[in-house]
Amino acid sequence: MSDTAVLQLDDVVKKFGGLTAVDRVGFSVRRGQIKALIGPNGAGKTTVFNLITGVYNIDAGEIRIAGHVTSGRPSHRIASRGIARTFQHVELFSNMTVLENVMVGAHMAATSGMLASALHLHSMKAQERLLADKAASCLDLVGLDVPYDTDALSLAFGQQRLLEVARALAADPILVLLDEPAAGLSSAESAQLAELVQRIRDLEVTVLIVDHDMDLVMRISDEVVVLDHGVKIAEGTPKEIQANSEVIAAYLGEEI
Amino acid sequence: MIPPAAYLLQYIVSGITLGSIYGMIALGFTLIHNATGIVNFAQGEFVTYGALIAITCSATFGLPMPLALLVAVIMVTVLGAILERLAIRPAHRSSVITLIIITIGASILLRGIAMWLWGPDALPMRHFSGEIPMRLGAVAVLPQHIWIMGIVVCTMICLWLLGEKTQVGKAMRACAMDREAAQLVGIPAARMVTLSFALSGTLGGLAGAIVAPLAMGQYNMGIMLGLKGFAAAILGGMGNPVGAVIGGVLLGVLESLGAGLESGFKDAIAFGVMLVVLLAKPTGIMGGKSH
Amino acid sequence: MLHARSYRLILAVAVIAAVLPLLLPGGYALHLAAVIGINTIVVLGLNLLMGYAGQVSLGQAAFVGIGSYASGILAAKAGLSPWLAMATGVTLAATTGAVVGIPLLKLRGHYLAMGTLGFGMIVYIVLRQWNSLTGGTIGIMSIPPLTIGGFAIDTELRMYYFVAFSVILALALASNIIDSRVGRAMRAVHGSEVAAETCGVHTARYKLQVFVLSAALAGYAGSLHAHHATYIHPGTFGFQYSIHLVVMAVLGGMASVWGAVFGAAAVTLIGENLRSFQEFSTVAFGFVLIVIMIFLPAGLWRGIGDIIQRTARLSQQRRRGTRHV
Repeated sequence: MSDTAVLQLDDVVKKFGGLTAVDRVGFSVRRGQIKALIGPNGAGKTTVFNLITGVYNIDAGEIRIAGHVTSGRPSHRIASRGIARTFQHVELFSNMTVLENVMVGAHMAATSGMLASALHLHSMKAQERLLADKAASCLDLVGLDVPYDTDALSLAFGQQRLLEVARALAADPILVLLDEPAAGLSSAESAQLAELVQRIRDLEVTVLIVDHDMDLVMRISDEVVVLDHGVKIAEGTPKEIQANSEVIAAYLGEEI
Repeated sequence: MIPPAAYLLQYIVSGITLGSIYGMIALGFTLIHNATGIVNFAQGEFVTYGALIAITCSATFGLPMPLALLVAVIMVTVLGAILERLAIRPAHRSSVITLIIITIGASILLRGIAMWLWGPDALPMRHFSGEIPMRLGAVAVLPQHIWIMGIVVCTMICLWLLGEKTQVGKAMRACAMDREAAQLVGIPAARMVTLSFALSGTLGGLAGAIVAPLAMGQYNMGIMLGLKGFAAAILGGMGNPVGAVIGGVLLGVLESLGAGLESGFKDAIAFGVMLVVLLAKPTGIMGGKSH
Repeated sequence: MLHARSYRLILAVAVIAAVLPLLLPGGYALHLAAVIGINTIVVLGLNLLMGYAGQVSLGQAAFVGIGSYASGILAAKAGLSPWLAMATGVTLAATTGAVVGIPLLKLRGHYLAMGTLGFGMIVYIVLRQWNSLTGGTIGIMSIPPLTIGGFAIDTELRMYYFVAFSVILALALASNIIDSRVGRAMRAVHGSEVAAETCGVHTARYKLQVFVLSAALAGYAGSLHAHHATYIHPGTFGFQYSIHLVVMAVLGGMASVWGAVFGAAAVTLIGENLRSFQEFSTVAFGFVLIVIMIFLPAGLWRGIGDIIQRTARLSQQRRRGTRHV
């Protein structure tokens, strides 16, 4: 398809036992877009995210990131293609500090292994400084203003979400997947989030976002994909989607 | 080294006997695992206490065998409940490794108490109805073998009835399947956990009491028996009660057939089997839960 | 930063270790100190594996045994240089760790625990039964000492210093690893495997690396033990020892490398002191274990540290008058 497609899904299928959670879903995300994936609960949105990032294996179809086939590859390999994500239920490294969490995000930027680490070789220390600097700048970017050695676990919920975004950005990704980043946020925090997503796009990072906050989604997205019961029922601009009767029916659960 | 065919049946019979003991112990593991998700390292100690208490009742106090068995089983049942209340309940939110260490601590504690109460030596126990072997064709079977198999079968039937026909049993199964849902319909989950530990004690204690005439009672008999019972549970499918029994019997037979090997290596059979299962098909023969 | 503080602590420990023999009342105390040191090295490996990477091993004694027997068999029976025997032992332990680690580490939680337990039992049984190679239950005697040039490490004092030196090295190694990209990756695996993977961390590889490292450390400790005790037998490397090692790691506390030192020291010393009260020691040990796991699950090192911190804060508040009653 388009060669500016940062993410491409073709006929992707995922079954869990007898249940088809994702049924021949296909869409693409162009470079520099903010694309939203929406749908009623149970539509399969997080499953699609998990398929893209390799947490689950697909049963059929193909997923490409920047032209490279990633479906069927292990998660850490897919990550090296330039894709990072946040999680619906925050998955922080609760046993580490704020800075360390984000430094793990930048894991792929360095290469020092067990031996270099054990001996604290000069090369390794130089890399550590780079990683720490990168992490600090990501924390600045998302606007998380806490001491770097704060325990990740002790952060407030909204701050934890920001930390996850910072960690995702530390990987210098070309595509960031945000899984319900606004869930549980106050309206003030949501507004800040919307700003943040746009800042991310300004850095030329493409964004695919899942969320239930329709205001947020419709306001910041360039395009929207709608899933219902694992099937793609619509794709288009926010205006088009809002006028789409099938979409409305899916959300209201009845024909209009 | 396969034993000559003439002895094969003999080995299989004693294997089934020992295996049914493993099965009871495995069932104890399964009950607790289903109710709480943890592995109770102290399971073997239930066996030890069952054996030693039965021995004390019958040999020291001269109680008739049925009474000695009853007392032993009741006391170990209570022991199981006490263990849960005092050591497990306070830590129920802890991590897996913490809970493992707690049950390990409990097993060390119980073993120490057993050594203090009964000394380090192996104690004999009278066979339930004599030691004259009965010949069934080519096979010589001790009355105790019949007792063991019979009691185990009866226990299985009772357990099945408990699970299928009684409120309490069904409540326990509900809890094991989905604790939150069970609590939502009013089942006191915490009490079910205590009950599963108590029942586990019943099974372990009974197993110890009925195998003691053959194996003797000793303060440290629980270590190996417990570990092998666990291997049996894994073999049959961790979390699957039927699997526990089948795994136990199968393990017993395999061990017995391996009697041709040097007795020292025989112990390795259980662990070898367990490793093979864990690595090849962790859900075991019958397919248990694989967390 | 963390580095500087760790190095200063390690330096302090090195100084204490250097002068300790002057304060100890004689040969047996030195012997015990060396035993604690040897246990510390194994527990450091376990600390990295369980505390940092979040895995579990109930069969660590097997790797210690492999190291011990490699040294024993090659040095005593085959007459090889003890250093070569030691190197072989460590390599063998590490390789075994890699071979069993690859399939075992696919398991989680209790299954991994039981898998490592099964592995440990099998190694123990092999060591006990393979008479021709290992001497069976009798074991191996007259293991020659390590020698540097003409200088033989054959007294309690010399062995103590060699062990102490090894412990310091291991501590430095472990501290370095924890505060590095590799260490963070390991800890990330513990924190959230799925999130670690999406950050590009190859979780399976890191789990294996730390498992192999812990096996290597255990193997090295086993070798030290062989030369220290000069007599080894399979009974030392059974289920009991594996459990004791885990207890040392957990009791000491797995949030820092110092927990390893503390745990090894505590358990070894308690075991020694209660030796005369056989049954009581077992009962007390089990009881203490349960109590500590319930009330101080982060282990004694962290637990006592927390209590000290809290008391200090309380008294500080009281002095300032800011403590609300």
